[in-house]
Amino acid sequence: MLAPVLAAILAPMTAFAAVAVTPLAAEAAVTKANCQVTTVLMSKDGDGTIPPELEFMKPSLQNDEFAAYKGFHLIERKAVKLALATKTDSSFTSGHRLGLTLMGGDEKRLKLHADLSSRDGSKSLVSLEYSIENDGLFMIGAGSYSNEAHSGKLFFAIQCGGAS
Amino acid sequence: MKYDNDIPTQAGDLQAFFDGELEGPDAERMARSVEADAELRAHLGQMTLMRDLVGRSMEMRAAEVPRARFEQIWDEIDRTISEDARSVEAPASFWQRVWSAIRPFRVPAFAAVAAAAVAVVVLRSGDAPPVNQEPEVASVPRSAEPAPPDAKVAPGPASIPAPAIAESFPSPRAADAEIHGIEFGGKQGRISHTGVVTVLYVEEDAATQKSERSL
Repeated sequence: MLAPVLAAILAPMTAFAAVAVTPLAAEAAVTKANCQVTTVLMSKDGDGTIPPELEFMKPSLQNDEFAAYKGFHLIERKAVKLALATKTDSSFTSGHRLGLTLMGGDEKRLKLHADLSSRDGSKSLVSLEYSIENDGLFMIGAGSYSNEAHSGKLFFAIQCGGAS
Repeated sequence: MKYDNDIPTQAGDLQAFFDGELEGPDAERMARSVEADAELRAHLGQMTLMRDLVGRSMEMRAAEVPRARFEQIWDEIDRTISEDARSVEAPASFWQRVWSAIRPFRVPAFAAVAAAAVAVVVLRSGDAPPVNQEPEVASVPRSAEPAPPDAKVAPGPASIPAPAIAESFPSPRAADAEIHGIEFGGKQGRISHTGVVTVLYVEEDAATQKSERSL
């Protein structure tokens, strides 16, 4: 008599626990992230060759989005460690300042906040919140840029992955 | 009789009569000729039929054009007329010309300026955080900004020593980003999703971009 009653109570509870706990475990919140910010100068001069230092992002650079560009030049690369809800502000040789904040996320996807300043740092060019898959690449085209060797458009490539 | 049988030479007059451009004795004489000449009446009937067909065709094509397109065309006409009028008017002051030039953009411009002002106030509401120029950068606390409600960990200490980071990152994964909120600093911008990478374009230069309004 008692066994069927217990079974009737425990079975739904077990099922509920299985359903409720599994997603929580799968979507463990991340509290840290490792990011790599690469600034790339894209110019219309060149033969379309991707230099070895930018080989890692070749599929992105060869996308139709950048078909107009034939020259790809690494300007700078920075590794950035993020902690949840704390802002990392870093400056670049171009004069821009990039602020990155880990807003949350799980094992598959990160939610980030980014703000990019003007070259003289006096004002914000853009401030945005976005989410992207772990190790997905997000790029910000920051307009015209020239150095002593090349001239074209400057892009910030932001790649972040969750860390435990 | 001037309008009796010589159709080729009368074609211009018949067309003018059809268009209502003849007046007085010329119009009366042409009307009499048409009344007396079956061939002229036939030509006039063909002209009427052609005008109706063309008119109906134009109306049908016009009906396919969205109303917004007409508004856009009229806006462009207004702008052109305004520019022409400005060019013949007595020279206005510099500020009057600027004010007139931005007339179509006043509302969006005010909105953009207001948004930029709010962004500047928000961004400068606290002390500027120290900037780490090193190639490896660690998090520093976001100044004067509360942690999001879903934050499970309190903000870190005021300064964290830059930790060692793995030399190489995995190749970027093909993915589009989802934009949850964005503020442009008073300039224009656009977002492009390619399926491989999401690219956000911003322009630091205040170059005016003439673009077609989205319909």
